[in-house]
Amino acid sequence: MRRGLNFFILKKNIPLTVGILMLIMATGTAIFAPYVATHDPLKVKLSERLEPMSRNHFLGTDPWGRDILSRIIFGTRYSLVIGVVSIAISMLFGGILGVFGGYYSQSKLATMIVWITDITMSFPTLILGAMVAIIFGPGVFNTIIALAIAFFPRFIRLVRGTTLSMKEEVYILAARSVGMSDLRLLFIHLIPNIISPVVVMAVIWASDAISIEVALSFLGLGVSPPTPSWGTILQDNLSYFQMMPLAAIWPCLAVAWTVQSLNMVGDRFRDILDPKMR
Amino acid sequence: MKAYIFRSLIRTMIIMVVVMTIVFVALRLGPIDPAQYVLGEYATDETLRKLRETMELDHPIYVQYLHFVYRIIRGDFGTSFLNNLSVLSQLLDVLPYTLELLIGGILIGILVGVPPGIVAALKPNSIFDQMIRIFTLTWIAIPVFVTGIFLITIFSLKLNLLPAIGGGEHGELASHLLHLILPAFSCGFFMMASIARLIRASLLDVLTKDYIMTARSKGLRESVVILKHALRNSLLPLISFLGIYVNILLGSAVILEVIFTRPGIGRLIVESIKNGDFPMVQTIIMFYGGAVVIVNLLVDVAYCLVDPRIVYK
Amino acid sequence: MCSEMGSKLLIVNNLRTYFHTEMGTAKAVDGVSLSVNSGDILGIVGESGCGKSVTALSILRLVPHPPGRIESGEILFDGEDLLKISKAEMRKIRGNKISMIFQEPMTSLNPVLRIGDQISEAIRLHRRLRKKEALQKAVEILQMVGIPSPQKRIYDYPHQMSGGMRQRVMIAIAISCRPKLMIADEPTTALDVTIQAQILDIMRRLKEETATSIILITHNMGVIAEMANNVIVMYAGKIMEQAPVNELFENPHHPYTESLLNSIPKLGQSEQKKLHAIPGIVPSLLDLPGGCKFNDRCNQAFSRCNEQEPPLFGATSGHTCRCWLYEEMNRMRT
Repeated sequence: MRRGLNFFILKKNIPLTVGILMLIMATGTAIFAPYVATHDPLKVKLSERLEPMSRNHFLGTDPWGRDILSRIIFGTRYSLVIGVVSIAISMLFGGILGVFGGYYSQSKLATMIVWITDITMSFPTLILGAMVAIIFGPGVFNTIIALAIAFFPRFIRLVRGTTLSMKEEVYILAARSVGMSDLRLLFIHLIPNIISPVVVMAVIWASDAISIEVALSFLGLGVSPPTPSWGTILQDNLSYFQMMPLAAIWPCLAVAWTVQSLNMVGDRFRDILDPKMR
Repeated sequence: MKAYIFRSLIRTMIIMVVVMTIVFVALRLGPIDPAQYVLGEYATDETLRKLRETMELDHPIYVQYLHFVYRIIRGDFGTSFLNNLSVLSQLLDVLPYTLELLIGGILIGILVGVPPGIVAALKPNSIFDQMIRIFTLTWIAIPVFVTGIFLITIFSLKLNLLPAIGGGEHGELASHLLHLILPAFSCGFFMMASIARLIRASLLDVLTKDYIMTARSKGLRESVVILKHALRNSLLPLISFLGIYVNILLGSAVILEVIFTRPGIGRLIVESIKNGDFPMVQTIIMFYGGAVVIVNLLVDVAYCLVDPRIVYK
Repeated sequence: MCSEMGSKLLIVNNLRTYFHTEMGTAKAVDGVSLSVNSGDILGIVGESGCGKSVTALSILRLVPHPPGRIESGEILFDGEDLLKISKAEMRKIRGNKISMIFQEPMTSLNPVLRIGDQISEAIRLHRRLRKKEALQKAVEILQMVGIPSPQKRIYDYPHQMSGGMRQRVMIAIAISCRPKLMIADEPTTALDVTIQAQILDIMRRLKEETATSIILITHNMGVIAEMANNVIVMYAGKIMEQAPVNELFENPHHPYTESLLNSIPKLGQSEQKKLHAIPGIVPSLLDLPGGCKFNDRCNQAFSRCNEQEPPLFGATSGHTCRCWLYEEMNRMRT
């Protein structure tokens, strides 16, 4: 594999490059939101409701007179943070349980973990998220927790599966035969080899998480208005779809952009990883 | 085989019971007060208390649970907190619409997704293949509701060809189908992309197998090699993915039903969750738990029938 | 070549099959010429990667053609040049006049089709028999390869059979249309030693019963000794030595052949000798040494070997050799 910049221009890596660029733009927008946005995303101005695109409001205004572009820009913060943080938490805790469930696969605790995972996996992630969200209530923090819990079983299953197959690898047996303690073995040998496939799936699932957060917020179960998550923006604007369909389309484009970029990056990583794993 | 089916059904019931119990307890431990939702903000404490009594929410949880189980055994899934109608009958009323959506989405995915997948695998790295790969890469990531909104904008708003609201007149097939087109294609695009990818990868893999070389060495025509030997083996993964697809579609159905204002389980559960309709939520969750397990069971049976190597003990 | 051996069934002239990859062109078969007489068993021996399998695939025109391509040469079968006929005509020959057995019986059969179906496929195609009649023939052939209760076996799936039985099924498929030539690519490599002997037995017996000629490809000198009449030793896509089997074993010329023979551990070796191994590894086809392809691993190499590639000497006698040593010896004789 050619090193350096040539790597990014390789034909098969173009989606990766495009994805990374898109991701950088999205993250940049999130970080520099106050500088990029033209208006205050929360400022209501009922005299300017549902205005079409203009020089003042690049994407028009929503039913409350708020500038759509600024709302979407700030929405990047919420949707990205919620998506990424929830996946990170899920990966951490799901990973720990998964390693345990895989390594000590004979124990009763592991069997129970598998059982619970199987049951929860049978529910659509959105429904899982909705159930947890309803118990904790709405809000940014609660949505993060809800999503983390919803993706828990996926990570447990993935990590457990990978651990199970790695467990029988020769270098593990070799380390054990030298008398290495379990804990040391897990941290020094097992986990570094599990990390790559898990991180790759985490990226792909992060795109799912963002998608689900938008869905939850849209349904009123996630972030509450007036906080400008893309989901709440969609919820506000969709009611006036007939009058100004574009208002609903802009947040959709934002979601599609972000989700697409994460997917492209994760997908290519998975391809890069695959031949090595074989 | 029969033993396996039997055991799976038992497992299904156990899962449904466990899930139901967890949901039952979680709802009642949570912050939602159904009485508040029903009566609104201006209800007095007295009326709230009285309503809670009828909802049995003032009893200790285990008592509520025992009553609940007792009723379930007799087939009574309770009445909705909101409209006092039977939960089960409301569920069965809207179930067909969701099923239509699921079947429609999967059918579109298979019919439109399999052929390009096959062609792409037969001509790897050709222009067609590259186009398919770009297409599937894009559409797999686009959330189903985004596709839905796009389709509504184009076909309903601008072109005024297809309806965007409702599920169709009760009992009228044509109306049902008409209202089904846009929502089904919203799922369909995603399924199409996913299935095309799957078939492409699967067929490419099968074509490298030794038995394909054996088939060619017999002097068979390439079309026979592909259709008789390769395809049968490459379609197998599709069957096992069906369970996952149903899972994904059930999730997408929720949002699609809200956007398209279609009757369905998804919309029902969202509204029940938001309005604190405990009996409805419990029953629907139970249904989800059972449904996916049963779908997986059907998938297992189908796989068993198609792949002679699989034997269940 | 002894002319009383019978007419020449297959003549390969100067076959070149190259693989064009991103990393360069691999000359898998580079100027190979061979012939098979009626009733012959020609053994092709060499280490992995020497081009023996690709030669076999080239004869049947089964080389995977995105990377691989038959660049030049002639493959004369029954007088016809197989490289010049149409695809349709080639298909009539495959499985019919020339058939092939592959190395891995575990993966060479379609897992979702019944054995009987897979055996009768070629019969139905080339003999235009109906399904029932073809299945009947399949039963007969299964009997010939020594599979018990063949009437039941034809309804089995491959996974219900052991490796040895599956290889017999492969042989059954290969002989189903009474081919004139059967190419066996490492037919016993993936099998246990005891099963190996059985399979070789079957092949020998069938050859006698049906007068099929065989090209036997292997890296096992023992199999060659047991089965072949004539032997070709290949290395890096070229023929290094060619001789009748007894001559090859008693009087090997090429240093590579000698090394191969020496590498076989011998019973009754009284001294504690180290196992003879050929130093170095088989070169990658993308990175071949200059001059004689074997010179960097040869213990008898001298300066000319590095500079110039030797041609195949001894074409007129029955024993050819691609080695400068042989040229010198040839000259010394005359």
